[in-house]
Amino acid sequence: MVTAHVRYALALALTSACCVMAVVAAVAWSDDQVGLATPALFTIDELDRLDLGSEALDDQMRWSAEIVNGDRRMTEADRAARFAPPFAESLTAASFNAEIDALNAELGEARFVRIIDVEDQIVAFLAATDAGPALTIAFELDDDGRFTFWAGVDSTTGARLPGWASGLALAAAWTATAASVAAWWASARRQAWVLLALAIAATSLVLVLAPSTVLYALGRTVPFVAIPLATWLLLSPARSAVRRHAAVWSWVAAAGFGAATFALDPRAIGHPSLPALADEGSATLRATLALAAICTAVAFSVVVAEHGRLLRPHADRTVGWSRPARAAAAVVATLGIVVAIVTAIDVVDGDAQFAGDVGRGAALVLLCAIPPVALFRAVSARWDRPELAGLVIELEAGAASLDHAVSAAIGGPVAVLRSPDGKLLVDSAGEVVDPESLGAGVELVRVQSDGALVGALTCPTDATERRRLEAIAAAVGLALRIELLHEQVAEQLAEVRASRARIVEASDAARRQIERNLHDGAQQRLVGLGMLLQAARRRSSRTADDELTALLDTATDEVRTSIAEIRSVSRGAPPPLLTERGLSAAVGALAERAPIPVDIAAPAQRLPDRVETTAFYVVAEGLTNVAKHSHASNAAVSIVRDDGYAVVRIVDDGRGGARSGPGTGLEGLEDRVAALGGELIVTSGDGGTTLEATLPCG
Amino acid sequence: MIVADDSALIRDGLARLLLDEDIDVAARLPDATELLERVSELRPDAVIVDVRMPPSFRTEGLEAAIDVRREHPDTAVLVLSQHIETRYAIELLADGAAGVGYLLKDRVTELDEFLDALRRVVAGGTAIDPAVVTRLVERPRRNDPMERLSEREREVLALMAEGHSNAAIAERLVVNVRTAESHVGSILTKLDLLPDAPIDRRVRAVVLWLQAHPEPDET
Repeated sequence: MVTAHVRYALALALTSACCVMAVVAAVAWSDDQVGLATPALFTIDELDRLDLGSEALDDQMRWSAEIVNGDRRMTEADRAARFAPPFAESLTAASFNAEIDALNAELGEARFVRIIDVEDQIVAFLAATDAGPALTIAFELDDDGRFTFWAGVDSTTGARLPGWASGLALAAAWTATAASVAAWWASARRQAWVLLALAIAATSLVLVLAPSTVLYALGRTVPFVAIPLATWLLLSPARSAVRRHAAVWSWVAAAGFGAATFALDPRAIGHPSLPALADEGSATLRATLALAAICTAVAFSVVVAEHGRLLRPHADRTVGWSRPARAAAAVVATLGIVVAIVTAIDVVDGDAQFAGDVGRGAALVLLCAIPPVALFRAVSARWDRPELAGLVIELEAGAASLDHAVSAAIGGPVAVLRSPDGKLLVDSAGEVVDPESLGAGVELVRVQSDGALVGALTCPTDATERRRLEAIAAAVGLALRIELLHEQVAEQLAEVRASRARIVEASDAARRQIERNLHDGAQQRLVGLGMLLQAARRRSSRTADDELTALLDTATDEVRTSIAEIRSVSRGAPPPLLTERGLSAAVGALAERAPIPVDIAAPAQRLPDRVETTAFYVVAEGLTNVAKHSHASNAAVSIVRDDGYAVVRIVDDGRGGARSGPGTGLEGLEDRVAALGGELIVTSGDGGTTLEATLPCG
Repeated sequence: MIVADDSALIRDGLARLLLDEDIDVAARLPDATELLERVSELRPDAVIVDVRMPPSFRTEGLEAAIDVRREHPDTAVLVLSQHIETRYAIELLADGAAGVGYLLKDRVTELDEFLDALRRVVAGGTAIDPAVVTRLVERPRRNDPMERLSEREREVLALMAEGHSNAAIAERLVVNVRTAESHVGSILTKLDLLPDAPIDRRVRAVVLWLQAHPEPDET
């Protein structure tokens, strides 16, 4: 099993490789300006034997060879001495060609190309080896028959790849570019990134190893499509207007760079002898470069600004671009702006060569930035899904506003609709939303959970790629379902609480009724009966009927026992005293019956009946436990009314060990307290037991 | 005599018992609403009132009895209660203990005790139910001053609280009156109570003392 770490490492390696390729390609692209790519790796020993019929010319050739070989560095003095005319010797095309032919014959192969006379120039291609770059030496013949000597190396003709391979790479680059356009069109952003990275890699291959200038030139055209597309992708998901502007800017920039590059370096599109489209100092060229640079700066500034805004909607969020990525983007944007300024200055006063260098430098940075960004976007989309992860984290943490969280994840204004009944969609204001009435450019994404419609998202059409949208919808579905379940549970809980309270009240009322019936009915009758028996006994004792008197005494005793039994039925129930004199009096009566001294602190004012009854039960149970189990020597009861709550506390200094559990009096008490919406806490330890009930009492 | 009780059985039974004892029952009332009026009108020696009576079955009887005590101090009141509530006894004694009785209703089945209590009350004495007194006496106390009393003294104290005279106490404990008197004197000294007060003030003082120790932290 490949772990995420290994996959991450692979992605990093791939990205780095692409980056290196891109740098090499970019350098190769601007070789003749920067000169870094000139691989002066061949030795032209043959030049020593070259006899052009002129000591000075031969010397010049040998010197050129040394320069080309890197054995010697060219100084300003050299430039003045070597490149300055005149070479007084007369050399015609014919005599030069004769020399070349002789040399080739001597070497046994056609290593040197003959002189081509183009207008006033004589150009010689000295193809030194099959694989290496060619030394180009040009002699300019002036009116006086003198030669001006030019030497240079063109690496582009030093093919490392066979033509078919290079062609294949070029085809791959263009195919990948086209496919990335298609993928982007189909909202498959991740695939577009991968294809784009592939295109850049293939392009790099062509630029470095192309066997011909034609292939090379064609390779250079790929970035002109790839750069704007990358810009577009970077901006997705962004507001469409911003994305459109940035893409237009970057396309203009790419076109400007293209035009300027070709103008400066005609050999890039084919033959070295082609003339420049514009004079190096021409205003048109400079303006083109300036425009391109400014467009680049604008495009990248927009990219950075948009990402800064879109991916980091909250300053404290760690979701979105990492700090290094944002820093890199900022550097690129700044570079673009600097280039724009430099170029703008250059347009007013400067030489086009410098402007060209700066322009190419900016393009180079662009080109280098794309592959790593592309790959990391792809990788992070696959393994991190940072926005999605951020959404899930926000939802889990209980996002204050679902709309806000989802908007941040999608990157566009999103409204979350809810469907309490699984049919109608309702917005946050509670208004029913008709899906048909949504405006153009707004898409309705239905959110389902467990097969039932729970809501929907309205978001800008094409705000993000389809699969991501589905993932976000799924996350929102979970959140909405949880929300729905919460509401249902809360409703049911309230229902259950109310019903529990009703049950407790009903049972209390029933108990009171039974007790009243017993006391006012049966007990009264028994008392009356006892009285009659006593009356009868008195008479019998007067008539000295001892047997009858004894009988009546027994009957009276039975009556008394019955009365006591009836009285015991109501033991533990709130006495009439509670309703008549209040909680304080009733608790006082409870304390009187306790086997140990009980301090009482209770408010004289009355509380709601339900609260008084429950509080009474709490104190009764608490004091019963104190009497039965605690071995305490002191106890205290306090009832405090505090901010809408009555807090009933029974404290003893006994040995603790009180615990609520099934079948205990405390469990029943907990139910009773909970039925009122209150809470019962038992704290029991070595220092005694505290029973505390908090009862809401409006 | 006026009898006020919502139970006809008890009302009539009580009236018959009293008549048997040659006690005249001037009025029988099913509730407490007219009690004060009838007392003013008939000026009975005593009223026997149930605590709980219509219309609300709360403490109308008790309150009416207290009113009668205030308006007609020479009319004795005997309050019958179905429950032992020391609080009601205390409320009843608030304006003085002369001619006041508070008995558990069951006492009417112990006719001799009942009639004794009634006679005591009518004679301007006091009758507090033994159950109430027991509860007060046995009430747990911190640094219990009752510890200072002997077993016999506690018995005497309970009888004092019930409203018995020294002679009655002596009779009940089967001792001579002098012994009872010395017990009483010793108790009153130990509890810091008035030694020479009349019997009704003595009862009240004793009951209040019993009720007030320990002092509740009423807020």
